[in-house]
Amino acid sequence: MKTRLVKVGSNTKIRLKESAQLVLEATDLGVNDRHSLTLTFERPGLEAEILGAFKLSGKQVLNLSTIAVHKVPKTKCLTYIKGVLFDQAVSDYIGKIIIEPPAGQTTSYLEDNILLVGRGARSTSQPVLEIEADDVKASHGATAGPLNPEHIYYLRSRGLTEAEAKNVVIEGFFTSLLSRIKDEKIRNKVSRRLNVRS
Amino acid sequence: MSSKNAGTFRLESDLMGQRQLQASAKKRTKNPLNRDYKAKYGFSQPERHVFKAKKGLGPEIVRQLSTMKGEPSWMLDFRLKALEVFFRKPLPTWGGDLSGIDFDNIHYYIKPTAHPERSWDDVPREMKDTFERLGIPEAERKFLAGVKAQYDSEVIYDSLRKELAQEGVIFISTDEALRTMPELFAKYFGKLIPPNDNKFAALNSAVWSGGSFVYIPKGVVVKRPLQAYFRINAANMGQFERTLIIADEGSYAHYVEGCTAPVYSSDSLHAAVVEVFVKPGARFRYTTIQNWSGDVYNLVTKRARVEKNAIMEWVDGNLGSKLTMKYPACFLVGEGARGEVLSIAYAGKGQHQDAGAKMVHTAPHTSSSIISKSVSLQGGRTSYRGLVSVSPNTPGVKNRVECDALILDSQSASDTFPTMQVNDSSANIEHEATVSKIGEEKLFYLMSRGLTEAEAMSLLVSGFIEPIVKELPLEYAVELNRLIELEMEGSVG
Repeated sequence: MKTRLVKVGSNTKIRLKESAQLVLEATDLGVNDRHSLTLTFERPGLEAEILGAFKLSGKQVLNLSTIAVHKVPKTKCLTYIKGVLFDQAVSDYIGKIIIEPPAGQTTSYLEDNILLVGRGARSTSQPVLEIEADDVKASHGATAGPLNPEHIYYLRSRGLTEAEAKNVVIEGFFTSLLSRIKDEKIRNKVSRRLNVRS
Repeated sequence: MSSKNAGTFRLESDLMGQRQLQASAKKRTKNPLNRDYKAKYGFSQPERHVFKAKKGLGPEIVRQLSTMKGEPSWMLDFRLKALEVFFRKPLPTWGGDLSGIDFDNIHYYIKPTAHPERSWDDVPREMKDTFERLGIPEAERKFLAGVKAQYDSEVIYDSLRKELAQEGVIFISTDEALRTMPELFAKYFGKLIPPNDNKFAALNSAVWSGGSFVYIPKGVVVKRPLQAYFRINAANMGQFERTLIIADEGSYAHYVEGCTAPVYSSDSLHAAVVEVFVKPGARFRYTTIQNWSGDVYNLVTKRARVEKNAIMEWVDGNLGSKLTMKYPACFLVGEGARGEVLSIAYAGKGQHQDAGAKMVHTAPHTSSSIISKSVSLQGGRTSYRGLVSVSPNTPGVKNRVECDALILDSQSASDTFPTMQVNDSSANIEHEATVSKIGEEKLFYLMSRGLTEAEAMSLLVSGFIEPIVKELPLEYAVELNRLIELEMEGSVG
């Protein structure tokens, strides 16, 4: 499976030719336009991962959609989105899985996790499933919440400052996603942008 | 309806393989119930009405209706304003397909005769069989079949009513409440769901009739469920019923509406409004199990206002109907308030169940949970549509949503449309949804133990919805399980 960095514009469409790992590069953060990625599976047996991680601060706003369209049987898609919102940052994410009638034996999973660090941070999340075939596994999970105070407390008891403790927890939050990126160069690049040691 | 159903039935037969066709034909002769809705429950009684408004909707009809009921002038004004809102608002473009509703071809008000007569011998055999198989008690069968206008256990109801009255509990029809306690009524009526909330709430506000009015005084705990069932007679079983419930501080009650027996309706639109006020420290549970006939559009607005440390629970079972759009809501407005929705949807041939829930957190430390289970088969479609919203400056909000959908065959479909709006960074919001089919290995295991495929399927479906069924009063749980068995017969092989 090849890893590719994908620039997501207002209406980016990808028709998958070979199995691939797509790492989202949302460069225009803070711009109110919607970034939308539609990934279509038209050949049986293809697998893909969509990986997106972002950190927003100040009054940045991110509008992101990812849409996985399964048109043929036996395809697999895993989508992982992780975001950390500082200050008054706002994220609005729509994650769709569409499985059309011929697409039996599809596996599609989507997960989005948002950490609300800033007091004024806000998030909206709409994970959508549209399933028209029966022999499929389709599911999604979504969470939004603050940093776990117990985690911070533990790290503080080990001598870290509040800020250091927060950073460690946030790094850990991103690590599960970053470790999925198979291409080392791309992984390093994304880690640097997120300010996470890799 | 008959010709249309016959059509879909033929179509389905064409789709089935020859072997399956023979097998299902064998099954049908064994069990004549096992056809489509018409054959199973399609019964109606000769209509005898004292008064029936002409079809269609307009200010004259609303005036006539209000005059017939002898309502105060404020109610007429309310209805007329609501009617304007109804005409002004467009049909929703989301959700199910509403284009089939012919608003001009509906009777908006029917005043039934006091004693519709029909002999038990005239009741179709299939229907008697259905009652038999659902295990509905003898007395209720006669009522449901339209033989008796009043439920046979009038006596039971009377003693129940005396018991309730001693504690100050009011449990009457909404029309009666408007007549006998206008002040209490006007204080709450339409305050939670105003006519301009949505098009169908406006329609209900304009032409409402029947429904229940419940008031539970402070600190009163009503042990037995309040069953609309007992109170209902034909006059209250309207298509535009309006229910208003007030659970005062520290009280508890459980209200149950509907039953698993099929509801026959002559017109194809059911647009009810239910408002529930749960005062501080009170707990209220509202259970609905409805099984509408297959041509009904079931469009209901249900909402509860939940105050400090109060709990509201909606248990919502959606079966039957052509299209159901129903999203019971809890507005959690007091600190520590809790809302819960348990929802089951079951969509068979030609049905779309668009159900879900709304949780609006506007106070600190409020919590809510939504559990939704849906089953689609024979070309049915189930959709979960939900909203969880957290207002700014409401620390400590918790919410959990769990939706599971089961798709039993390749013609059926399922959607999940949740929205989570989190405007306070301390909120903990979790959502989880799965869509799957019945596991082959589970089926195989059960069949290796001697069950037929149909029996195994129906056992697995019962297991799937069990977490919600166990929350129902026992007799409803038993009936619901039997109903699902009945519906599932012939869905395989």
